[in-house]
Amino acid sequence: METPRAFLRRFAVKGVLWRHYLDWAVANVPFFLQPSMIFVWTIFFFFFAAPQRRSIMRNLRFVSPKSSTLLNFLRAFQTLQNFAWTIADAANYKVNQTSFRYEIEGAEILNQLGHARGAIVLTAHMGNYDLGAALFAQKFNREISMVRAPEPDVQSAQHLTESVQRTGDGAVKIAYSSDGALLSFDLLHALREGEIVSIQGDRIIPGVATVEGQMFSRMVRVPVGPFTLAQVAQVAVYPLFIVRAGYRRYKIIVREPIHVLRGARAREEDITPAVKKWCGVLQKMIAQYGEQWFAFGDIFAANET
Amino acid sequence: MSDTPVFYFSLPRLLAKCCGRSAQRTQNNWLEANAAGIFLHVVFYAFAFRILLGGHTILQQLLLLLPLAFLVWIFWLLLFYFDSLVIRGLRAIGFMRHLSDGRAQSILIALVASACAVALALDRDGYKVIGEAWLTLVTLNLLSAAILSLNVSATE
Repeated sequence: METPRAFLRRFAVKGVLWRHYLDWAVANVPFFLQPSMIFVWTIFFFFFAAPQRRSIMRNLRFVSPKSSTLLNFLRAFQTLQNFAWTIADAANYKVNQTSFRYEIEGAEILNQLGHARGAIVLTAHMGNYDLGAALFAQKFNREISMVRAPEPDVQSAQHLTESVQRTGDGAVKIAYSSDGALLSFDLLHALREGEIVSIQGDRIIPGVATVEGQMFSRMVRVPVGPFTLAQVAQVAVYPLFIVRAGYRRYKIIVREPIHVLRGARAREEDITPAVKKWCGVLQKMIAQYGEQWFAFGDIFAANET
Repeated sequence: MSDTPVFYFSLPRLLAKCCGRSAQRTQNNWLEANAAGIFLHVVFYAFAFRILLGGHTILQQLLLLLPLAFLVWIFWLLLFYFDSLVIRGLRAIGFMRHLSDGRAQSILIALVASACAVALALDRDGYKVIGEAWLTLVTLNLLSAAILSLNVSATE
């Protein structure tokens, strides 16, 4: 039987209740009422999800140091509204099979990635990465293994896994970065079998190996896993992002692949240039699409220059 | 996909067709989604304002604008839930089985909004304008749907 604490956890910001409600809402709320509904729910979560809002504002302080607190407050609202739109769009795609328009920046590189035998897609908590994985799998008829930061709520994690797998029509497999050492072997095996592995490279969780990088003149820590994997499996790392470009419209942005060389020197020395390139790409993306960077944890705050 | 604006509601689709553009149904038009949604909110809000704040002083009305918006918001949430039960009931007796939940909700919401609009249209001043505008647009939309439907039948 469910304990009172477990019952109450359903109502937490990251609880499963809101995800179930979203699925129900996109099925029942006509599309022309969804924009206003999303707006009002954003106002609700802007106050209800106070820790996430504060983290966004702290991160914005480093991204736009000259911005006033009021401006960052409005930007935090815009970030949460974009987040609401992206999860509503993903739910619409899953529940109503809604069509989306998308354009591609870096089509040649995306094509190269689509036909690559083994590759790592390095992305960030930006835009609609769940929908992006599904569109990619559909476009190139390929399977993707997606590694995500773990959800704090078990039921939410289950719901999210089911949702992404259903959205990707079974072509998107989910693994969590907290799954331990065995995950590395599974991913290495998948890469050697020619599969594509998608990893989020902007957020770290306790227990995951990290490496130092620099963004916005600040030291940040990013997961080292994608780079080590790329080096061992000798595959390229493709920075890929899917950002909202308007109402039911997305932009897939693919940047030049990053190659992690295997030299005679220490592994860290081989990885450092690749990490530097990734941080450079990520910094440009955040500078351009900062209101779509869903960094709901402190990325810079604990670090010094 | 092409960027030519295509619409969900019949009236703009008919107008687009008259201009030689696509009359295919789609939900991807930002302007249409927002305009229809906002107008619907205006009808419900005006109706709620009329019955709840109609007899109050201007100062009281100003002070109660925001609480009324919150009340209308709660009404919306209840309406969606109540409609979902009605749809389930109607399906059990054979109606609306071929419609998706969203489409069925659209029909019920349009019916409730039209009832509110009739009440507004029978009133005076601003209320009357809002009610009549809603009823005119709904009538034109239904006429457009009939014309488009006849057009498709004739083509076949």
